[in-house]
Amino acid sequence: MPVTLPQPLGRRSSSLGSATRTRAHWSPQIFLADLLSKKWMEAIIPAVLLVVVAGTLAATVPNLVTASSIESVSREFGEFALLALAMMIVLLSGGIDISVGSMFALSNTVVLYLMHFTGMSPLVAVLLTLLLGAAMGAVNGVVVGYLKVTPLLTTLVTLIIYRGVVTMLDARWGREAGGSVVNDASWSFLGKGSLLGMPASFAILVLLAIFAHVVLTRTRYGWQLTAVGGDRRSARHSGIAVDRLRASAYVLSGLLASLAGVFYASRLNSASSRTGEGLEFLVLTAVVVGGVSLFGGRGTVPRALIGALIVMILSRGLLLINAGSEVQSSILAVALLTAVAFDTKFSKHRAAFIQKIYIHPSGIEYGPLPNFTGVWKPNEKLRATEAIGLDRVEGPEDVVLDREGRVYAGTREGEIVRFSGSEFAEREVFARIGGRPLGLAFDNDENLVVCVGGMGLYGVKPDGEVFLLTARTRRTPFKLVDDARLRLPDDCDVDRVDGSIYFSEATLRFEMETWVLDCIEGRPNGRLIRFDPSTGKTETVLRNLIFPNGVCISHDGQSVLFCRTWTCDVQRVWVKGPNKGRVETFMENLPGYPDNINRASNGRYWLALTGMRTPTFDLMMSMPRVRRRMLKRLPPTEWLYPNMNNGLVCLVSHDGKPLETYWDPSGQQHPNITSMREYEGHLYLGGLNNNRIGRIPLPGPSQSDPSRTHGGVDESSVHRLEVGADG
Amino acid sequence: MGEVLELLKEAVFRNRSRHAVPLLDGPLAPDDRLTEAVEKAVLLEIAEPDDLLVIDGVTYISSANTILRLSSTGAKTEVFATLEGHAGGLALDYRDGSIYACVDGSTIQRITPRGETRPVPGGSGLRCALALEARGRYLYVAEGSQLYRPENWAHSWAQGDVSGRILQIDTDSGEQRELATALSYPMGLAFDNEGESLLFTESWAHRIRRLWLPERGSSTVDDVVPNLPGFPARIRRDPDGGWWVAVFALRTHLLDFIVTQKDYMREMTARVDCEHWIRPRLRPVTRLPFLAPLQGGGIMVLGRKRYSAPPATYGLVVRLDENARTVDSLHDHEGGRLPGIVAVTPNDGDLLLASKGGDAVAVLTNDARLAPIREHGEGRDI
Repeated sequence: MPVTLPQPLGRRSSSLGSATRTRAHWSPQIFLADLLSKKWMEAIIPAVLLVVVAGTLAATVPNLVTASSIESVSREFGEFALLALAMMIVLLSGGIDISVGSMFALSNTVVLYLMHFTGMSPLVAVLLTLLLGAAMGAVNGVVVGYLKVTPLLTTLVTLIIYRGVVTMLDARWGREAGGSVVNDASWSFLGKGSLLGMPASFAILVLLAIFAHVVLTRTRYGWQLTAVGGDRRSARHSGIAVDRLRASAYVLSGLLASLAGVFYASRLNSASSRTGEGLEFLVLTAVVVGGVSLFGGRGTVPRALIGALIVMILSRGLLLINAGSEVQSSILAVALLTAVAFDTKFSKHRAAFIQKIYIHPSGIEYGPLPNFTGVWKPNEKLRATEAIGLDRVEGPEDVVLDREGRVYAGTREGEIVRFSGSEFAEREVFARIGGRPLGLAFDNDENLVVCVGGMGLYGVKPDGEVFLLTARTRRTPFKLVDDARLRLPDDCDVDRVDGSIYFSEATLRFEMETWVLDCIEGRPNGRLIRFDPSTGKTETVLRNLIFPNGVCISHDGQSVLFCRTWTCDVQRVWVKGPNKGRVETFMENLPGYPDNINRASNGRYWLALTGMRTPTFDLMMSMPRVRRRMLKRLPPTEWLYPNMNNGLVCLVSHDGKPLETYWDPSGQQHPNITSMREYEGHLYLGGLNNNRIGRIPLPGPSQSDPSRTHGGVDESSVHRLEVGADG
Repeated sequence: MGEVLELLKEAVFRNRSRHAVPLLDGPLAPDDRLTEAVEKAVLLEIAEPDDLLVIDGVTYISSANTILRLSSTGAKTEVFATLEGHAGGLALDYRDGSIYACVDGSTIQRITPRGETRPVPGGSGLRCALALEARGRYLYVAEGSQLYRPENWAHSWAQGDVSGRILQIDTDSGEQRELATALSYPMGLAFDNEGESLLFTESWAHRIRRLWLPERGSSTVDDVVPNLPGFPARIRRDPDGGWWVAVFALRTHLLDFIVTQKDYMREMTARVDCEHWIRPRLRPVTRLPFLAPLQGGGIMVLGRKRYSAPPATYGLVVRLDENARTVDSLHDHEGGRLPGIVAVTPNDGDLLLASKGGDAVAVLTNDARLAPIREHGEGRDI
């Protein structure tokens, strides 16, 4: 039973053109991951629950949705929601306040008695009552915040005490106060009047809620309170006054509870000792159902309001269908339990789930590899390089030379080092920026422009002073994830005429250390950006690019060349002149992964190929599902990579034809070449993972510093020059 | 669909045996003993040595179309016999000192001590005979595959070929009898001391098994070393007890993973030059080496390759004790002189290694550090 062996094909398919084809399309999986990572997604379940509960009850229970019913519900809701806000703030700070019901009841009694027995004006009485509320909260706050007693125990005790005071007051003066009515316009306005077409209590709630939301999400106080609730120890280590903040949450809680009590008093004018009994349970159910975490650090005003509304509508509906109070509380208890269980599971598994679905590989089909004859024939020209800073520089991704011929390179320690003197033996740290310095260029004022991975675009003055150029661009409209912040600026070039800086941002979804994940994903995650130092404006020139890497302004200054690493091509975008805005292919189907591109002498360009395409990796790139399985099952050191252990630099003509190649085929000295720079007849080589900078003499006539000069060069004359040089 | 089933299985049977790549640990812990010993050893440059056989202290080596004989001084080789095809596995006929040799994997020849070559009755019509062992008039043959010829072994691996078998040939009558079938590329064969059973390697299944040969009735097979960290090749009995196993390449997670991806393997075998496949290999890629697959751990950082890089080539020799338990190992690391060791044999205290990938046979002279066989019972199963 012999089998005939399949013969390897020289070309993949005759019908396939030589250009790389990508199959990236919109990914619902990545959308879901992005969606889940949004903070507001935590409230999505309560919001849906609200719609379902309200819809069901409105459809089944008669008389629920009538004008009068809505009016009375919104009046009651004003009080209830204030209590929910109080509870939410305490939960957010990592505590719990079950004395809200008692504080509510005591405030109700006190405000009525003040007006009844002392004849105070409602305004003074209300202010005094609010002060009392704050004081009651402060007791909780001091005991919890400064004496470090457990919040549950503390507020349980104060619940009993405040309730006791209400009962005492009721026993002593209840009979005398019974049935009294306060005749005051402003007082009855609080209870029965309306503001902006809404019941007064509801209108005040809306204003307060907006204010509270702004404070909690947009101010230092809000952020710090959230931080304390999230992790008290980390908050303290970050220098936050934890004790004071925790105490303040209880003060706010007392204040809000007593405001709710005032509204209740104005509405019913009844000081019963049973007011607000069991209210703390309802309030707690409301906020937890709304998606406020019992464990602190997670909670917002809208969530508290949604929860309050759910509980409110539910109990109202159950009341209208004459369900017994035991049924009501059972249903609410089940709702509380479900909400807590969901909250625990959701917060525990969300991050892991997002991580599981974050990467969604897509297919890239490459053209056939060349035969490695002719211009691509491997040679050993890079074996004769002279090493600069051998073992004294770690990972010079890019190299650049100043007018005095000193060599600058960024290192993986986040420094810019400078080599000078004879044989470049003198090493000094020129600047410490941090992050991962990548692409370098000198601007027209001799400032060094640096793309810093993880930080943004920075400048370094000749005296070594570091300054920020830009760290943000305009956010992409209608995109779920805020992509304004620069994540991985990669390479830059400076326009010699107007000084603007073009730079690439390789990927928006991964970091410096996880660049290979972007390759495995193979999606257009990068962009090309222009920064204008004269106006300070940053604008995105092109977005949705597949790993844009090297950037180089053409010799005539009219267009920008940029490498797309994973698709193995170089593209040209016209930024000036009649073709402005047009994008065209400059080189395609390269045998390796292009990294940086720079201007060379005589109108030509240098192109670094950081790694080589291998037939097995090409195939892997065309099979996204195999890639995903590999990603999930194997450790990163076992993943299939492009072959990075090869050094290759290519000289390219003005119209994108490869002219000459320089190889280090096994990468003994210069594997993984990411950049090169021509300077006074020599070529300088940098590599992302290398321990040296290479220097090699170039044959033939050359300009002194082609990477500094462009503009005013007529491309046709360049072409003649080139022919002359070659001939 | 198969993928979904795998995931389900993984979810339901969390602790099932996965035949994960075992760590190089315990008796298999890598060290530099072999690297150091090779510097002092006699190294014979022989193109693609395939098997080694020792008869009365004289070593015979199969290489290309010849069987070479190592001179008594151990420094020179002479041609003992020239065959009509590629010489492979060798075995000794104890009755008269003749040598059985696989030729092109398809026939078996018998070479008398005087160098006369004759075909063995019943020793033809094979596709991939790799290893031999003889006892009396019976010849035992490990046929790696019934689909692929020996030189196309990488295809056999890539296709998940399980058409290997072990045959018994009656050299008097020429009768062939199948003793075991559906094997994953049996590459080595060796008797135990009593002659009751044969140990054989299954290269693509990374294991060593034992075939019991009862006086009457059918033979049975059981596992001896179920999960090796590499691809075992030939196995030889040590007269002092135990066995020596040559392992020609190490497994990597990527190899184990990719061979399960049928659609990828189909495309790769159809489109890519065999030299640049993801596959176990005997020698480093020399033609357009930058087209060879590279794994993440193998990227050069600051001028050197990490020691922990998944090895593309390797040389490994494993020592089994009398109970067929792993007791010791010798390692030639990636980039060493002896990649792709396919045969190993002891010779009166010396140890001979045939490195097919390194085009060399190493004669390691008696060195106490080389083979410190641990006490019985101390060896650990892997």
